[in-house]
Amino acid sequence: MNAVETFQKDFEALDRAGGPLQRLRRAGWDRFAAHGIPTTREEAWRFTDLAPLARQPFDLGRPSTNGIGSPPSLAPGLVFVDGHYRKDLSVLPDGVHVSSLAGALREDPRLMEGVGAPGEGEPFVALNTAFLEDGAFLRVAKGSRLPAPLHLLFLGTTKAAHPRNLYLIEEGAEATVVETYASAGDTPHLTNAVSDIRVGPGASLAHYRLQVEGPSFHFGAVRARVGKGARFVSNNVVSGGALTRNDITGSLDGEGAHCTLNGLYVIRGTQHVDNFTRLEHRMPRCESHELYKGVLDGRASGVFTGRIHVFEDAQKTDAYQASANLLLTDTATVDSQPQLEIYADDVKCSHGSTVGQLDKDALFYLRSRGLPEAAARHVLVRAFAGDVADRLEIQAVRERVDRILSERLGG
Amino acid sequence: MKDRKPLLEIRNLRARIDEKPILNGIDLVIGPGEVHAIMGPNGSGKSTLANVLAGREGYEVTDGTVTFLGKDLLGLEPDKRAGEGVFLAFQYPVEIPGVNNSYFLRAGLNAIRQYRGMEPLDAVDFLKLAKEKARLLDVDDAFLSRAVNAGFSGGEKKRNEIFQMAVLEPRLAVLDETDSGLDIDALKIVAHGVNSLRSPERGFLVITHYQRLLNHIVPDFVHVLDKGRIVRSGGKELALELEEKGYSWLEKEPAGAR
Repeated sequence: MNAVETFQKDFEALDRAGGPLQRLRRAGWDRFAAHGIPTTREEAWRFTDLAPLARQPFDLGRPSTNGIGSPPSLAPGLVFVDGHYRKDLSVLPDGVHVSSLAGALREDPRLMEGVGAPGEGEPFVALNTAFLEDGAFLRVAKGSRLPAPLHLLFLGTTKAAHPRNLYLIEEGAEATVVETYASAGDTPHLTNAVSDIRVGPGASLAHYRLQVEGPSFHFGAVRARVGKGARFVSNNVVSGGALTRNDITGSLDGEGAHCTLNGLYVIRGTQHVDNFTRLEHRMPRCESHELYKGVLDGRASGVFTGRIHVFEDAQKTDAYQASANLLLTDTATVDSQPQLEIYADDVKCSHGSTVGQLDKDALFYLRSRGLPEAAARHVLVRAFAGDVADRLEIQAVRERVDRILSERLGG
Repeated sequence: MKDRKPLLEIRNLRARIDEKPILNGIDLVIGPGEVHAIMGPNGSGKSTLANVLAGREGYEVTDGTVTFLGKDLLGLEPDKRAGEGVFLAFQYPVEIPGVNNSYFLRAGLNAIRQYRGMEPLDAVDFLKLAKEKARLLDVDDAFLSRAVNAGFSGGEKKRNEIFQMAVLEPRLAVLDETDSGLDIDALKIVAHGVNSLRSPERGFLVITHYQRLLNHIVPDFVHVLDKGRIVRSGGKELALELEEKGYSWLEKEPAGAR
């Protein structure tokens, strides 16, 4: 059985259970089935070959109470294994309206209506919707503020996991959410996660996404709709996975909305990371700032696509995008492409993209001051990654990124 | 009488870049406490000598030896040379945006201390040391919190080199055209820094095109380099003679004449 046949078998089994989500799931499946696993003939997948995924079947992860080694945790928070909430491993923070999505759907089966539908060209969101069961649900009520960052840990074993997260940040509310994706072992698994986000008028959400999995296939979609005068910050850090594709979308839906996309990936060996970001400027006077950086060692390959779509009504748009990549070897590769589509005439849009290697003169300078080669390289890589790393406002996350940089450069 | 064992002994050093011979048999001995100046026209091999001593990539030593405190210097990686006590003040100090000067220097100093089997300095002790050296050299403390040479003026970069030298306390300092691009005031400041670091244990190799610097850093010995060889050696008065006559006389005398 190949991957698609396995998905179909598991979808049909889930479909037989029926329930209030059946219609949405079927819509997801139909859309996925019509598209299939994307190929490199598709523009949006040109540099990411999914043939290895198509050949490798992963059975659907089911709720379990199996023991998990020692998960790398940023607790307290919610823990999910193979996409399902694990009450026994979780520590719910006090005074926060957070639960599993499965639990929230039991109370309100219509919760995902209007937010859950996959769009055109989102085959993995469609697949996730076909298997929509569980994930994290957060509601931050109007005018209130989450007292501390909410930590969510998603652990994969050997299965296919399709966690679906929904964050509703209501008018004037503030929150920080940290999603960490990790592996329970060192076997391959599939993660296909989707986070649907609503940031209400004047509200603010800082969203962190740390992907430190083992040899997984990882698909991550973040779909944020940002309201009038609201702020959304996405911090997307990748060091894990055999093959990773992230689709990060910020839709600036209300006047004066503000969106920041920070990205950092540090990969080696034969790891592949494809970050596809989309900023949709739909209304006037919105701002977006985007900075993506990659550090690639070994034969690793990276792809960055930065699409900025400025709609006709979005006058006075201010959009800035930069991507920079550091290749530590001659065998690492990067494809970086900005895609600007601008239909308004009074806008400020700029972008820049660089790919380079470590500066030999700087390396010699550091070594002449006593730093051994590995340490000198580390200093320069940290300096390169620094402007993204230093934007990570949570100290624990920043430290984690520093650890990743140290580990990655050690070997 | 203190130990007169030489710091640095260069014997018949020959080196090339991209197959092109640049150094054609250099012999030079520097003892502790001595300041040697190397002068010479453009292209005579002055900077190559500095870079070969510091271990920069791209220079191929084809013959000869360099012994530093009894050890074969040429067999050591650049960082180990620093650990042994060799310091190069760069002609073109490198800008490293994103790396704080203080972090950079502490990392260097602690790597050198580790090489010598000493305990690393913590941030507090390092800052104390760095501030003391900054005061000694009349360097603004603000230097420490800026990124390494990023956006520095030419004079600031050279002062930063001397400041680094003061913190790292080498046994041998090689100054590669430290005077280039400096106005007279900046030059005086840099020379003052170097002079304050002169000591009976420390040797200096001051590489310069112009005699001007040597009015402020008075050398014990002056050597004239031409076509990759030392063609004349003498006392500080040789520099004055060069100032007067320029380098054109080199064309007339046979290479190798002393």
